[in-house]
Amino acid sequence: MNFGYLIVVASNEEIDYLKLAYALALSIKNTQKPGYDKVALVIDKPHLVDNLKSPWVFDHVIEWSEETHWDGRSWMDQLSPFENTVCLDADMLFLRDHSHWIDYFIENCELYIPSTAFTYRGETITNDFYRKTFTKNSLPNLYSMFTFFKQESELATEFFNLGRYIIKNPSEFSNLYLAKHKPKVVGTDEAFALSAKILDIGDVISYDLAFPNVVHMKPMIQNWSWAADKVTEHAGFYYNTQGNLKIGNYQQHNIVHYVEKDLVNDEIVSILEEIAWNKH
Amino acid sequence: MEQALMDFDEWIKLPVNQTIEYFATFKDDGALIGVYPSHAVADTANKIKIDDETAISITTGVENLFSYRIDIPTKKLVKLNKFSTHSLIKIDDILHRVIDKKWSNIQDPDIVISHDAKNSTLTFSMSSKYSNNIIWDGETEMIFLVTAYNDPNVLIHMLSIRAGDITENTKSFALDLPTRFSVYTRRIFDKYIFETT
Repeated sequence: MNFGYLIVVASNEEIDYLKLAYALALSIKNTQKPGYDKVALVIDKPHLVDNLKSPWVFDHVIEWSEETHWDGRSWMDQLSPFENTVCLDADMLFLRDHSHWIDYFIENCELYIPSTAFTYRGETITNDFYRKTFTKNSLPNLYSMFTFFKQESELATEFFNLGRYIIKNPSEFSNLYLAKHKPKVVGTDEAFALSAKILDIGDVISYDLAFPNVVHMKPMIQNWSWAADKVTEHAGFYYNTQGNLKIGNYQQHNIVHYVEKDLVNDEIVSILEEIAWNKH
Repeated sequence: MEQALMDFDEWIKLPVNQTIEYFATFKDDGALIGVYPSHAVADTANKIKIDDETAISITTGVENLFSYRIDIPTKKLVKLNKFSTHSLIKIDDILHRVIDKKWSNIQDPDIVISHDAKNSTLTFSMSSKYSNNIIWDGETEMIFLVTAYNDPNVLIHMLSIRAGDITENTKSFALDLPTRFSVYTRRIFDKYIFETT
């Protein structure tokens, strides 16, 4: 089996995406079984990886600087060194072993992108506060933060090629397909959803599965009766030395997409490193 | 009648910038009435001299006159400090984790919690900026929760301190503590720091 996780980051003056990717890679090493814990990092300044205390958490470091910010993820199929890949957003943490689901994806899917996400209290997110473009234009509700694909899949190749073309030509596609609610930016989620709709593969690449149940910490979709700027203004983020995470008083068991980039600070990274050093 | 002019050589020798001394006048119960230059209160009995910085900040509206009063027995101007200086808005205000010094950029903390691992004590101290003639206004109890590391759901000890206990002194607690723990509190001041000695 040739499987690994792919994280694509680019330098940013305000946010240290390498630190987030490092924390995610540490959490993968700490929780996934050997063989299911490979991580490849795509970064524009690979020399920065040498400054990390445990650069070995990245099994592959790939220099690439053709795109900036999140647009880079749309090139995941061409950047991954693995035959089977899950591409992740950098601002995520793994909290327990999900290796058995990787076997499922490899056995049953060429391309899979989840269409559901959850609040920190485990409720399915139904609020479309951040996804008006999807609901108004009847797009499949894809969350590209967790994207599984096979390198050799023609379906995946066609899907990613079209996704990239949409990102490069946002006005053309917005005017034609997203007229009922145009997004400010046609990002990876919108481009992938539109690609799936045009290719009519929404049901093929996204259907009900018990995994991944990603906890999405955008504030306005937490089923709260009040408006919020940040989840952590109302619920604490408590990551302990055993690698367990509570948000508020809810123990988290699934992958957490924490969104607030400053949550993973040097202290959290040091805890993750300590767990990794004790395990390996 | 024509005014006699002073001799120029004598006039030029006069000090140009005479220092103005400021006085606060007050009622018998110590409540302030006003702040004036010395010549304006020459005949007033209830008055004390105050420093220029305080006087100017009151007269220019930077500080409120009613934030001060006179401590009658000692005849000192004291500041009435509203006890809670931090607005409680976020969860981090209500349940604030005191960050370890090595992970924090906080300079000039208001409250320092020192952990003496060898003797298993926690010592609480307050910045010296609060020790000069301050009277705390209102309830001054501070509750500190000693919990499992980064988990306020697991309470180990609950400590109560009054601001006056640590305004000029420190207060120590000998406690049975695990190797790693966290301290949480309601955020009354802006800046708290935890340090291990």
